Amino acid sequence: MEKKKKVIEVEINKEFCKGCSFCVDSCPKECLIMGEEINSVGYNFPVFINQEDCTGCGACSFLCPDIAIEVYQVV
Amino acid sequence: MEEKDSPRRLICGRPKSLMQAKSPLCSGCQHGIVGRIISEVIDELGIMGNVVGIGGVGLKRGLNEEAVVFTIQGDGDLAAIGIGDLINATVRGEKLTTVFFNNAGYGTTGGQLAPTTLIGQVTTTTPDGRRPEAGGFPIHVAELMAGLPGVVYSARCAVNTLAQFKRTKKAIKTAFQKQIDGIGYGFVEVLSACPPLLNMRPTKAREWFEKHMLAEYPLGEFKNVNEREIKYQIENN
Repeated sequence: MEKKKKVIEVEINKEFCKGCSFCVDSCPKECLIMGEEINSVGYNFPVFINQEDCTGCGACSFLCPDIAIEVYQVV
Repeated sequence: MEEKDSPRRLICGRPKSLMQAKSPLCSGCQHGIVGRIISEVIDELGIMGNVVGIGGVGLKRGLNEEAVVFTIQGDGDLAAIGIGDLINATVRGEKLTTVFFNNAGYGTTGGQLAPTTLIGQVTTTTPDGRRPEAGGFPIHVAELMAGLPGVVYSARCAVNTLAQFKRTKKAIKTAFQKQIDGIGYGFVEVLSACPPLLNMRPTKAREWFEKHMLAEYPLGEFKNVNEREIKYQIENN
């Protein structure tokens, strides 16, 4: 039987983000990129672009200094 | 917060004991990650409501014997002005946990030279870099603490990668557990970089950190014992 693939959702609180891009650097699968848009304080915030490859390791969330990222598994 | 019948499950997010508020720190300051680790440890040990955190200057004593008391200190109030208090707290046999944020400079007051500043590092008070003949040498507090008999746990960690994050969490949890078990003083030094002090972008500052800070300050556990050591004791009849 084929193992069912985990579906992961990454939620970014764009108002908490200060645009340090540690999440983008820490992602082993390159699922996040820095977006063009800016938040109310003037920082660029990351965008989750690659749901296919995301394994839900949580590196982006754990290494976020502003605790702006939450990782969910769809069940 | 998610509803119970939600079709998705939270893997990782904000710990329960951490306030839902915007962080006051600068962009790329890794102190926020350490704050998150402490909150996660408080959640996992189930000590929320019985824990006292002391920040910065002015630690004396936890009056409630039952309370879990920890201090969060930087290189100014721990390694410079407060090092006498730190050492005497262990000499008095206090059972506390200290989390030491070492970012190699005074971030809050404007980037002056700290005792932990690396040799050659540029700060606002050493524009040509720290020179040993004028500015002295960086202090290695985790090794110093490991030599004191009141200390039962001393480690140095970093939070630049996921693996280091997990090691730091384990170290802080061990230090808290040793205090809860009444064994003795736990000390955890966490290295980080201060991007505004270095005048670099956060990712650049992290590269600088990996190249220079990790070369000066070795990571690891320097002491992990389950009993405070008494070297010699006079027997009185």
